Amino acid sequence: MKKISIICLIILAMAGLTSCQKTDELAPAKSSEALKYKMPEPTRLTDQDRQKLQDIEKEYNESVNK
Amino acid sequence: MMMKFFRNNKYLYATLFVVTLVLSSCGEFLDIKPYGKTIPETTEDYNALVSDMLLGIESANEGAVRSDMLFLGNDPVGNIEQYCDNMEVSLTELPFGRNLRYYIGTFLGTISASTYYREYYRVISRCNIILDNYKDGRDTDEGRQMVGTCYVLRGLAYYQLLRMYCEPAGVGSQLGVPIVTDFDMEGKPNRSSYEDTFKQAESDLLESLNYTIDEKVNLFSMDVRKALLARLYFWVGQFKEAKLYADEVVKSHPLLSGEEYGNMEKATDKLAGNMLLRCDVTPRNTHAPSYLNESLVARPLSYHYVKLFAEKDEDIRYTLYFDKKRRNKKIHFSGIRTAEMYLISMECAYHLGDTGEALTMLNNFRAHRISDYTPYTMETLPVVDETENIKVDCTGAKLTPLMYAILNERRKELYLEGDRFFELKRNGRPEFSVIYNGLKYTTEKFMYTFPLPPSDIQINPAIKQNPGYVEILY
Repeated sequence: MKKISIICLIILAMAGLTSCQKTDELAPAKSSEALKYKMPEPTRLTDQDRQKLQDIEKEYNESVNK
Repeated sequence: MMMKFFRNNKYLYATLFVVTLVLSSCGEFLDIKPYGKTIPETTEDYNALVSDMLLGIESANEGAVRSDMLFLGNDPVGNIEQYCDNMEVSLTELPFGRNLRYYIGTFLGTISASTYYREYYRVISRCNIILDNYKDGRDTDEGRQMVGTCYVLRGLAYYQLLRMYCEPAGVGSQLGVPIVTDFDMEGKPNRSSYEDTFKQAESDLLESLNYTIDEKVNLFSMDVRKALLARLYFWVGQFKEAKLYADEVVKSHPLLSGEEYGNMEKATDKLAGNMLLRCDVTPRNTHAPSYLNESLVARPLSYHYVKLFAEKDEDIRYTLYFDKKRRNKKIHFSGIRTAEMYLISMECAYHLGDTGEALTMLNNFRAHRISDYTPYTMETLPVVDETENIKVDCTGAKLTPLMYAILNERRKELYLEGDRFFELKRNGRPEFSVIYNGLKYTTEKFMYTFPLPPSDIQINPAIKQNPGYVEILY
């Protein structure tokens, strides 16, 4: 039983050793350098926005197709 | 009992001992100072560090630090233009232009917002190592050249941190960035004041003027260093000093016009015309203007930009910069050229109260770009277009026709050179919206100032984040 415990201990030590190659070897999602800030959400278009878009498209098409 | 147990298991214990030894020698995990890095010893060692940063700017390599970011580089210049108002986001041809940026929030809401910050501090850290530790050979010509170069690089890094990560001069919290001038791996400096960050950049660049740098083997000629000082003073609103240095540069690198100007603008690499410095002077494939323009043409230039060319074909830029469908033809440029210095001097003259000189300079500049040019008088200057995004100048004053014309000339000339975003920031940080793929995205005032890396604030909670950046996404 004691032999088994010691062998288990060695296996655990080896596992620990092989998993500590680099201090920054973490999955990117958990890295503090991967943190980012939430930005404002885009909004749906209003009638005024749609009109503005149409005006932009109209002006462009008329100008470049002269 | 214990001894018996040990004797029976001595091989196992020997194995455990060896494992413990190996574990304790694991360099990266249990290392102490200098954290696996060594301080260089010889002039050659130090020179390699400096050369690496200079080659990075020329884009011959990416190096261990991204020194190319000190001048943005071709690719970022194209990206940052896409966040501004010179191109018409809503007319982006999809799916061809799906890789184009459409709103600064898409940059600020990613870890890329911290990239410039980290890379600038990597440059600063490397310069600090050299300035702190390089002793033998420091007084030789080669040594002095290296030291002078480090002052330029560090000053330039602080200048860019001031532009990107601090609010513009005269508004907001007036916080600067942490100032690091020693090589200390364990230091956790807080943010300095805006004034102190400016002074750090200023003292580094002024100090660099005391060193002779051979411009045949180094990017930072005396005129480049003066140009960088002009940019710094201009950004913080010290117009007298900005004009002084800008004028000196213009004196030795006069404005070009006609064919000479056209040839410079068409140059895809190398120094041409009156360029003083060019980042990406030997661009890698992915930084080549022809490669970058393949996607850029999916978005036409905006009406508001194109209408500034009232003289149309008589303005050499009208045909050089875009085609009949308003698709980009201009070559990406990241660096320093005379036109910017002239425009700085022109605006400084205005802010210093000499509107006569500002108008004369404006007319001279336009005469170099427009054939058969008829000079403006104060009476014939175009009226201010109230629908434009910029409505006040950098002092907060409402635009006059003269200031409006000066800013327009800068907007036209420095398109696709990484300038417009910072012009918007410098002149009132206007909020504006774009329509993209059926949604409306608004560039808000706070977005002109990038967030400090959230990880730095976690390490040192005393560091105050810029306004607007509240909720962290994990």
